[in-house]
Amino acid sequence: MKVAVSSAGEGKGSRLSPVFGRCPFFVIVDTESGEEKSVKNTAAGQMGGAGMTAGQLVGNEGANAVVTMAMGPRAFAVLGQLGIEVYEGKEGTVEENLELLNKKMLRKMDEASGPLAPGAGGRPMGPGKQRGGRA
Amino acid sequence: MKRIVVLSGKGGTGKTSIVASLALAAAAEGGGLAAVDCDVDAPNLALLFGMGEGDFEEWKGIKASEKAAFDSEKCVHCGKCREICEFSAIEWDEGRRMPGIDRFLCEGCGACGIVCPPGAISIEKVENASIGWGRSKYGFPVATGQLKMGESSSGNVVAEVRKMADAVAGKEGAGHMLIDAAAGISCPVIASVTGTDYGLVVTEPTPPALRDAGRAISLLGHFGVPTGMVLNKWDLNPDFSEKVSEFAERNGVPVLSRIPYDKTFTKAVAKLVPAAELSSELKGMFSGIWEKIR
Amino acid sequence: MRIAVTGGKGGTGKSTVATALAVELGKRHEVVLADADVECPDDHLILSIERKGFADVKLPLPAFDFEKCIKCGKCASTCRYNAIVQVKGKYPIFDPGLCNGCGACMLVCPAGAISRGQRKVGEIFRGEGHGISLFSGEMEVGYEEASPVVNALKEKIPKSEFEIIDTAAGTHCNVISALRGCDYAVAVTEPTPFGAHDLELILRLAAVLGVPAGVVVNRSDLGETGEVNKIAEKHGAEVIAEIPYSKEMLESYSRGEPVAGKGILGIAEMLEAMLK
Repeated sequence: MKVAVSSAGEGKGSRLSPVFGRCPFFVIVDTESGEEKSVKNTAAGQMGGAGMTAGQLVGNEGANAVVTMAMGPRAFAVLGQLGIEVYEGKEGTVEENLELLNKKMLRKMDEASGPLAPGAGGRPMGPGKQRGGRA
Repeated sequence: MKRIVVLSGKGGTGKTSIVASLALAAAAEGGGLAAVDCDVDAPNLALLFGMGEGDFEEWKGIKASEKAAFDSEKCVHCGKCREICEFSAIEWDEGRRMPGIDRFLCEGCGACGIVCPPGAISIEKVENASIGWGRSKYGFPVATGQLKMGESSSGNVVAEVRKMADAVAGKEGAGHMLIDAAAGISCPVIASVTGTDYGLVVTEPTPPALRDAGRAISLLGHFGVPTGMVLNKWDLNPDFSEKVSEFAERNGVPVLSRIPYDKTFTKAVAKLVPAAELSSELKGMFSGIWEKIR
Repeated sequence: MRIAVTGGKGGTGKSTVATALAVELGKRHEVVLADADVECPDDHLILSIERKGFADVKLPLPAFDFEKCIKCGKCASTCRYNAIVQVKGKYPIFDPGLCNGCGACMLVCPAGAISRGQRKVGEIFRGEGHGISLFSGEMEVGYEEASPVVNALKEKIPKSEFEIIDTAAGTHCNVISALRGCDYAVAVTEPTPFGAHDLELILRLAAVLGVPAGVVVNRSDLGETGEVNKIAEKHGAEVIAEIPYSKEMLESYSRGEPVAGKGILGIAEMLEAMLK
């Protein structure tokens, strides 16, 4: 299966990055072939909805599972709808976490771990809506 | 680093004064602190630390808002943009037969750009605020921001202030971050609350303040942030203070402290220092609160 | 005549002044008080008025018909708020929490699979008491935008001799929505550095919106009024009243009773003169 791990840098030797939506990179590993790929997390700099976009990114990479430490409710819902399982990683490198996953020593997350990451919640909002807000 | 956000729902309960005095208690502990003012419409925290323009190490304009930009030369005068705008941000200039975009109402959604046949409308980032940080005379950094008059997207500005605060706090290895949220519970407050580890709700013994504290508590619950309460000016209405305590208890929110009405707070604001600096009694009280939430 | 009561800084006594003013004017005129602090409306508590549901505030929300969807992903790439994401070969995923109802996705969908649905973002309540009509706007907790509810509230209130709009604190979009189109703004401040700092901001905002403003200094005896007077003068705003601190007023307030006094009467008389 293909596993996407939230990572502080490129390559399996990088440290696991704690927050799914805003981590700098994802390291994506095919556990059968051993093929490895690092992708920049384009959602990290977004104003809002980073969890959504990060979910889309790993989905487009064909991931079946994600390893991370913290994930907000939006990202969790998106991965759920895509049928991607989420595992709670531990402090250490990407490689160490993949080994733990292989040995079935990582807990599967059955709900979002907590609130949205810092920087979330920002949205372009204006004073408008004169046509929109109908009572 | 532990991030603590202080909010109230209702304005005027003493949130900023309390953050300022708590900051002194945190700084005294020595683990490193960063203070952040997320009330970007009307930021007062830096003022209360006695900071002025010259105290800021960094101050920059930011483009945290997007608006429609119109190229009149490409216009074919079809009026489709005006029809499509959900926010009534486009007025029609009958004389020139062209749209006029109201920058206050425009939400930068891009719908007008989508329907414009010659592609005369595009979405561009605009400068809507200034943010910066400086070192207070107590040694810890204070990050803050100011929304430009009439501009929008305060939620995005708060997000940028938070990012700057994280960078500064990271460089200094601060053990704690204290965040002063805006009043209310909409997007700038949400942007202040997300990704925090503890939420402190400041309230006072009046029906409006209690109601608003309830909404602030709901908001923190919605984001899964553990919550505590500080009941300010409690002796102005001891009976109602009981009701507030009972409400907090029913909702699983511990009341960490009851602060009596104290003119020292007013004097402190006039002098532009945290109240705890003027009264050893208050200093002790805030050390106590800090012990419980650190 | 539509009058906004605002202030920039929270806790200056804006709602106290708005409710007291409405009740005072209500003795001689037809008055509607609109509580436009829709994140935390308090006027019904200050006046102990029981509210009843009057109208829901709804915003457009895209409704997806996945039977028509061709999984092209255009909706996801068009949405500027990241409310829609789409993985190749799968249906798009939509988060209403990030949606602001702009309708861009509906415009670009080649299959006509997105239609205009609705969702409730707030409610307007109505109550009567102390000789006035109160309309209170309240935004749903967790929804992010207050402006649609403020605008809906202003649209719904019946035309009246005096329409008093009690705005939220601050100067961002929900206050702008409330101030827009008012004939006059009463800026309530206090004689402290915070009060002065925020008064400057609110008077500039009123000027930008073309709303003439006057200043009320609340708790005027608790500090130096020099600074706020200077700021008022700088913006061509008259100081229409100075209300000294009164423990009685505070106690009435905490009991849920309307507050009264000479200062309030003065403001009322000034506004009545303006009406003529």
